[in-house]
Amino acid sequence: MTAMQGEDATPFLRWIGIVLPGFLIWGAHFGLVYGYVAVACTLDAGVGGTQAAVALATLAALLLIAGLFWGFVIRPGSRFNAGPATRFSRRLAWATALLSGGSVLLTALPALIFPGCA
Amino acid sequence: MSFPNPTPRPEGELEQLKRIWRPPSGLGFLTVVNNTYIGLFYVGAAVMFFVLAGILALIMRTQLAVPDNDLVSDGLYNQLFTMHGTMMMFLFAVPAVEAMGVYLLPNMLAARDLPFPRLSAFAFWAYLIGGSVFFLSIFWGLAPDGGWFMYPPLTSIEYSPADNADFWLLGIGFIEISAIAGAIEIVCGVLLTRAPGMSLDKMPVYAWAMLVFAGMIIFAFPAVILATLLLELERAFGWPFFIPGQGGDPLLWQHLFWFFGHPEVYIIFLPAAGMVSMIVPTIAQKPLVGYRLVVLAVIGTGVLSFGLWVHHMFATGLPQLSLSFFSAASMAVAIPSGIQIFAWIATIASGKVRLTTPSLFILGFLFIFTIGGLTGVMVAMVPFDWQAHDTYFIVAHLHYVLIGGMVFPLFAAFYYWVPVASRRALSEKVGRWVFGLMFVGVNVAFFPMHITGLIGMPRRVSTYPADLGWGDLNMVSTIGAYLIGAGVLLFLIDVARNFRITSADNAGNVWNAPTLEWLPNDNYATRSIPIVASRDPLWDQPGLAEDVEAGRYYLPNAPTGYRETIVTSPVTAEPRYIVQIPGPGWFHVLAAAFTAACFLLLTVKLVTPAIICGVLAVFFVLAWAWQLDPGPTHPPVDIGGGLKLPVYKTGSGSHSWWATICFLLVAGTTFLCMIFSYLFLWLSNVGDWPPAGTALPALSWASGSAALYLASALLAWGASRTLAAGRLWTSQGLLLLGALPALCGALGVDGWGFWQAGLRPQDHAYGAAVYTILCLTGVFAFTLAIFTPFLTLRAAFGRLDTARRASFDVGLLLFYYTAGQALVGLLLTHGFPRAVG
Repeated sequence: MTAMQGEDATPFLRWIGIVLPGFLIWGAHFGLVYGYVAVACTLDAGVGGTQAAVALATLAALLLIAGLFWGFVIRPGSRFNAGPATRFSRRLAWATALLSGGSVLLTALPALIFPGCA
Repeated sequence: MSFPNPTPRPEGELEQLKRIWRPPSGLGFLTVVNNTYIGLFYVGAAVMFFVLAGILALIMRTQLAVPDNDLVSDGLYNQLFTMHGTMMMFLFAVPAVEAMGVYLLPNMLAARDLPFPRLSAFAFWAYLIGGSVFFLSIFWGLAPDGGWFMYPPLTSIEYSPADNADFWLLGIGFIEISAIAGAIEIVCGVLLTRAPGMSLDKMPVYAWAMLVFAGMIIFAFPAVILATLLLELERAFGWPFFIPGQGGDPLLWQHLFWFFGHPEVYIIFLPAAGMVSMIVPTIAQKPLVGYRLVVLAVIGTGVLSFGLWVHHMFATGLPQLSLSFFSAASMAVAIPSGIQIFAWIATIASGKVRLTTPSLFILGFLFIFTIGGLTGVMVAMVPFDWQAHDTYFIVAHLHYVLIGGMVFPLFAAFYYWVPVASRRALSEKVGRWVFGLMFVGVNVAFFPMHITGLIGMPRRVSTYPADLGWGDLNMVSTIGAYLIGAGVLLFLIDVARNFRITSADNAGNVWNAPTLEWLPNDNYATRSIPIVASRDPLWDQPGLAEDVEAGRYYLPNAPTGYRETIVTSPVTAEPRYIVQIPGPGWFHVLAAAFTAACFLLLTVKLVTPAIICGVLAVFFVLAWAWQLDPGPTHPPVDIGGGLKLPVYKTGSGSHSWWATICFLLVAGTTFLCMIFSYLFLWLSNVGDWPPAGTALPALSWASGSAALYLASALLAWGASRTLAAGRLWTSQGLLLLGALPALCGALGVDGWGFWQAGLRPQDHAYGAAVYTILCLTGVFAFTLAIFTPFLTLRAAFGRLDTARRASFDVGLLLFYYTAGQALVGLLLTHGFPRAVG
């Protein structure tokens, strides 16, 4: 056991950045599609494209989750493997990506069923 | 096995530890800060408010027991249900789980105390004083009466002209400050003071739950703080945020309130679930099944719960697609909640459960909470919600969720952890009666309400006519409520008979539990701080308790002669430095008392005394802060095993930096909520933003202001650089004579620009929103106008220099943040109307 006298907050922030981005992307996607629908319906503009816009945002969110996950967790030599990674963190990152990806999909599904501003 | 420290320990070492950590006696006991006392006081106060709010509920149930009853008037009934809900949520549920955290976390993490014990004590005193006065308002007919969620326009000055609503807005707003203070303490405690070796994968689930809980408070409470501020500004000064005739929108309140209010349910549930995750392995005598998945579920529940707020607004006329997003998210959050339930059931199934009182309460929790969860999925369906909205079905649902999800786990926790704090455990025999009365009572009281609601009985009615046929069901519910009351009364008797507070000779590890809070302890916590090698150290590390007690592990002494604990790295829990912890003192107590007085006097419009109390509160906060930031007063100390740690730290590795960042996250979230409010009000006024006849100030005002804000941040940066270079007074000059005037000047330029353009906050929601954005920056400018001279004073008295600069770094972060927030505000208030206009 050694004292880490020079250590700052970076390792923890990196840990957060590796394990939690799936949830952050879910939050951004959720806010974006909700905000977009609210604005589009109020302005009576772009209503016809609501479903397409939600689908596009969903696709982008899923690709982003998959991309970050690949970059941080799976890719050999990724920062995740070089940092304070443990098996626990790796599995947690897997699980958060899965749960947040599923949540993004579930949130977006109604857009395929309901008309935008009814 | 070799240990960091040899035994026997030197003579006098234990006595020194005891002397340093001993609480004051006599009147000075009020200044105690040890978590083992403050935590217990906190829990006691929360239980007191639980009982008081419960008594209000019994009065309501008595009123509703028979049709056409006139036991209480309509007006008093309104106060009763408002106070019951408000007290249960704000004065019992959140403080109770926070209090358990303050008590349990240091013990569970083997820290000597939390890193900011005076902050915990401040939070407790503010809560106790503010909460007590808030409750007493009912005896003067001044209690709030607009429902626990205080919807405008009912609570606007037009329909609620008396002070009742102000008691809620200022009283609860103030108590939220206490909750946030506690949350910051918990984040820092969990991340920085874990025992060496307790890396994140070995952290108890309860600590995970409390970390997520505190994070949720940091991100959820700002919404309701802003909402209360906006409504109070409207009531006190006529800034029309919620008045449609002047561009306001009452739905803005609902969005802000529920952005806090729904996560609030999980803020209460997650710590309770964390407690369950600690108790279940002990009662099954098996490790928790699916630890990683449970951690995922805790984090996932915390995050997803922020996407559910509109499911309280399904009946407000939002677009169907918007409702569907929230309906889907409401169902998504059932996944992580379900993971936890299955993990507990699997753990119970993997072991041999003894039916002790904690076990019974856990089983009761599983039953009641699952029913509440099932009706939760029902009301997540928009069409069903429209049918059940504002009926007793919702009352039944929320009580099943909250009592099942929080009260039963809390009672399990009381029975489970009392042996840590008391010489005797509570009575098993009485505990079974308590459980039986409460379990039967809850189901008798609340199950019939599902039916009462489905046959049409609305919430918040003080009575009902006999011919509607609701009488029998209501009578049954009332009987159930009294059974719960009897159970709680029996619990209090049990506590009075058996709970004997102690710090040295507790009842011991009576359940054969595996975690560190069951180590032998005293006022100084454990004799030495262990190295943790597993999630269940007392099961997996034989002889740990004896070795810790003998002083064989780290820091078996007090090498600096002050209260201290080890700060470890947040991810891997490796020792980093020794933090000297403040001891007892009066300043935080007086600061809490005068802050409470300031808010409460404002409620009854006694402005001058309120200002005096406010000034005194600021003075005592500064006096308190004066004693902090001790500097590198001591050379690195040996904590055992040849490990020498520094006793002072600055920059992003220090605990004060982490606390400041947490505070700035609160401020940033408040500002984000204000941006949302601005844009929401714009959506309510599309094509009229700014309203007709209102001119925007010329862009030169905005650019001048932006230049000054940037200059302020640059000068603060320069002050930091010159301080690092050893030029103390140049640094102070740059800060006091450069950065601060630039900041205040920038704010003045921006405000004057709008004022001279003819914009007034009382005329329209647009003006109100613009001036509120300015005010939010103004709060920081005001804070820095006090804090910067304070830093100069510290420099003059030798309390600030190149090495001793933690307090300076706090000010620096505040300067940077204020400039950043103000620039975003400028972009919004000057750029957005031009962009959409």
